[in-house]
Amino acid sequence: MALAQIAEVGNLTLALGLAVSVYVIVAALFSQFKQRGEFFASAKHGIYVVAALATLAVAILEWALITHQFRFEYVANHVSSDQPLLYTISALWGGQEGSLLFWVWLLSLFGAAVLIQHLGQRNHLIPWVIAFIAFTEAFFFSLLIFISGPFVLLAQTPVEGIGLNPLLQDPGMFIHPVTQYLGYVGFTVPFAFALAALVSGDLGYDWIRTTRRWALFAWLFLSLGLLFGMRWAYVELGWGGYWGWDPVENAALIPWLTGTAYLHSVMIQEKRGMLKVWNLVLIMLTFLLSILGTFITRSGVIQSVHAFGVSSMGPLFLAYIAAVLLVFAYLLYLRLDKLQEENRLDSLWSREATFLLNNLIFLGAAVATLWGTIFPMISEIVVGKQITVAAPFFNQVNGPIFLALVLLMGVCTLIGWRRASPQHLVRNFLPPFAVSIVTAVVLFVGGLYDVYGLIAFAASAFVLTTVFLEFFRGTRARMRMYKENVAVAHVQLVNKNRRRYGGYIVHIGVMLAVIGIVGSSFFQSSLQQNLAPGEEATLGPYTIQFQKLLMTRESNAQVIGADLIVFENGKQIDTMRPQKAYYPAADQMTTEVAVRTTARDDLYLILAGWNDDGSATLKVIINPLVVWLWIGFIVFIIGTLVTMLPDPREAKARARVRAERVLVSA
Amino acid sequence: MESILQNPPVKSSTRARSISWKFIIGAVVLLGVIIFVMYNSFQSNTVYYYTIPELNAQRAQLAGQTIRVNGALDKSSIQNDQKNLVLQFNIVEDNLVLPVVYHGVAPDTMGTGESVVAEGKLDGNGVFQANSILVKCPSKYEESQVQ
Amino acid sequence: MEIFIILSLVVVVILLVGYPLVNPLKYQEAHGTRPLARDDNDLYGKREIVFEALRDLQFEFATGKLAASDYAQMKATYELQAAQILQQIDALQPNKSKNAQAVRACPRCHTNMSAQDKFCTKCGAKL
Repeated sequence: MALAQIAEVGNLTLALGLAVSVYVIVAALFSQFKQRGEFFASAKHGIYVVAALATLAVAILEWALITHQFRFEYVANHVSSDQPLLYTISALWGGQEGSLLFWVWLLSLFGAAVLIQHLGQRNHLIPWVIAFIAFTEAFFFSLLIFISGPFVLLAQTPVEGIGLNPLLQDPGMFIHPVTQYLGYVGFTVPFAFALAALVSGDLGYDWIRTTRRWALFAWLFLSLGLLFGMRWAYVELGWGGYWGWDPVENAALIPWLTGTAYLHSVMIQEKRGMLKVWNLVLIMLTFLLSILGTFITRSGVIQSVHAFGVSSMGPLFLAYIAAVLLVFAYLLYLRLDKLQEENRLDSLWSREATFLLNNLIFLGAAVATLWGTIFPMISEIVVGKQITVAAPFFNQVNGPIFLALVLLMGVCTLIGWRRASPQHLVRNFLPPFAVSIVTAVVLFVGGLYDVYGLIAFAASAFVLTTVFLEFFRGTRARMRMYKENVAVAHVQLVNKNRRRYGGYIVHIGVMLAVIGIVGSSFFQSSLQQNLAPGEEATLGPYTIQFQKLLMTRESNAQVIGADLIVFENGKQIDTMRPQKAYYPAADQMTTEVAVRTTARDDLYLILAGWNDDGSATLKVIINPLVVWLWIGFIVFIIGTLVTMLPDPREAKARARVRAERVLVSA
Repeated sequence: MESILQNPPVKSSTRARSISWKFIIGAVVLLGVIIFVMYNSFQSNTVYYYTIPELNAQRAQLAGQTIRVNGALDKSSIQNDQKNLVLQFNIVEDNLVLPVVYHGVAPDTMGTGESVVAEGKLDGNGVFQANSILVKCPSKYEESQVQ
Repeated sequence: MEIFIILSLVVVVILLVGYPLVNPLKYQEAHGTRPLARDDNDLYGKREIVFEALRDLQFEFATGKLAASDYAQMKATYELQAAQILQQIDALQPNKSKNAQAVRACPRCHTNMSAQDKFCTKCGAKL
């Protein structure tokens, strides 16, 4: 089959995808209004068919990428023949058209997964859910068909492709977009259920529990996306940090913030039947911010100068967001009477109150970050002049906000649900408070004089102690109540309360990450120096001796490295080689840093330049404690997985509610 | 079941109301603080964006102010002193040339860049002292920022 | 060739999506779209929430976060709520014989339990 025909088939899958998605919307709604089961069945088939069509489209594009069909414009722009296979595969999500296709593919798979999850169950929310998923699929198919098509052919076949941006040729960048998109797309499912609950008026017990694990899944992948993105920035971008408040980074952080708020506040609805409207609004915000994040990341609208008019996707994304917002607001207004609170706060000194506070602060951080991120866009539209917001804004606003969140994390652990009595509070507060004071004093005596650093470390000690006490008390209570030994009690404590103790494990991870962040942002030290062969540079305990420059060739790049010997307090400990690589295909240089990690600090070396006389200019950075950021992330992910394990008690309760409601309706 | 009969719970609605009032006041105070902090640091961190002709016209007022300026990169003017890490180049718009000096590691994309966004201050000699530069390349993916 | 592939793709899609419409009777019941019993006050959900709350209270008391007096008072509050909700659910279920199967009392503390429960959610007695 000729290439042109394959491209035709590719375009056809997209067109059919759009047609079937639109049909699913109509059929699902019709089945609901007219109680016609066959149309519901047909809509369900449609969801599976869309998944198959999107898979076919992805397969065609992937085939073109792997076999270097440079007549495809997308292939020519993102692949070169000397590029490693891994990055040829990942070129699918390396560009705008491909990543939009990737988005809709993931969504179509999630749509099918929701149906499979509910096979044989009667759930009257499902027609609404698949109607909304199909609506979103139709939107993305439209973008692919009318704005930026992945199957556009060039008039002539170029001899060679431009290749994937060398900066993106890193294992971190292979995995980062995938996790990020799984997170972004994943929030569509809980939001679809929220809308379905609003439309059907069945706003009670079920929808939040049905979507709990979907929301956790999406949130987990957003977190992983942040982790891989930060890790990539740290090892690949070569400026010594992992977070620069770049619009694309912010676009990933903002939905994570609202999503975190949502995960906390749904617990209050589950336990107390409160905050129903608030939760709906939070999941709506998280979903729309995910869509906005996709748009910001994909169109480069904010980074580029005067780009808003250039990207024709902008108005369409705004229209989609506005449409969802309007429908949501109207439905919410219709159902307000069904959303009254079942309970009130029993006391200001309760876990509910700390959760509410936590929600406000998370939302405050999200609003501040969003404001700083989209302000250049707004100012350009409103006053016709781009006004950017510098990184210190984000640090100055979010620094205190995150410190408040950390303290709240400790306080909330100490306070039980519903009500805490003052004398218990004091008794529970004292040990962690003492530990945090001792930590601050020890650090001060040890020579740490930075006020912010002291406060942050003391706060971390406070929170970690509260969490360890929580484990200790829980285990003790179990040993008393069930006569278990220490080990069994520990395991059973987590096993029988997966959500609660999984959450605490997540908190431990967060605190380890906070320690890493504080260490590397307040106590970083650096040095730039030109060294002739044999000369040395000293920073902190490390002395770096420059040996020689070394030229090597890789499959698609020329590499220049500086051979270095590293001494710590006069003793030779290691050799390191920071490099620069030149990619001829893309005519681009990349920096490949050398990093030596210990529990205490990272020695981070950048080859800044070299000269004809054989000397090299080096940038040496010491990033204290940064390894704890990555360790914290791993603990965090383990904790999240524990909370995602099925909860047999909850599953039983849901089955019971469902069975009784079916029984009564029969 | 007896305990229910013996202990009818006292549900004081006035107490509940005072709690929600306290909470609303607390929330308002909190939001006020966040907005105040935002407003405060927003003032000192907004950077205006100028074209070279605009900068030229308002030279006097803008000297010493942190601003962003954008122009086409004149590749022939790039001088990169790698030993001392001083990068000098010119950016151009409408035949107006702005010399830029940047102390630090040159971005990897400098050699292939089309235009540059520089953030910094205009000094007394009409030289733009950049503290960060953003090189923009032909393809939308090839951007890199140096801090 | 090209026309053949395009046509067959279109036909396959239409067949797959349209099949249930040709055979409506088979799908009318199996994929029932009829909503579950109306549960305007979310009684079943509330019942589960109260049961969970009672469990939580006990644990919170055991880990020393709750004073004994608060514990007793709140336990009583929730037990009363549970009783009220169970009463309302009883009233909701018109068919008494089904109802008797669905809900039964704990032999020890007389709290109402559903038929699926093997142990009493309140006192832990075997049912």
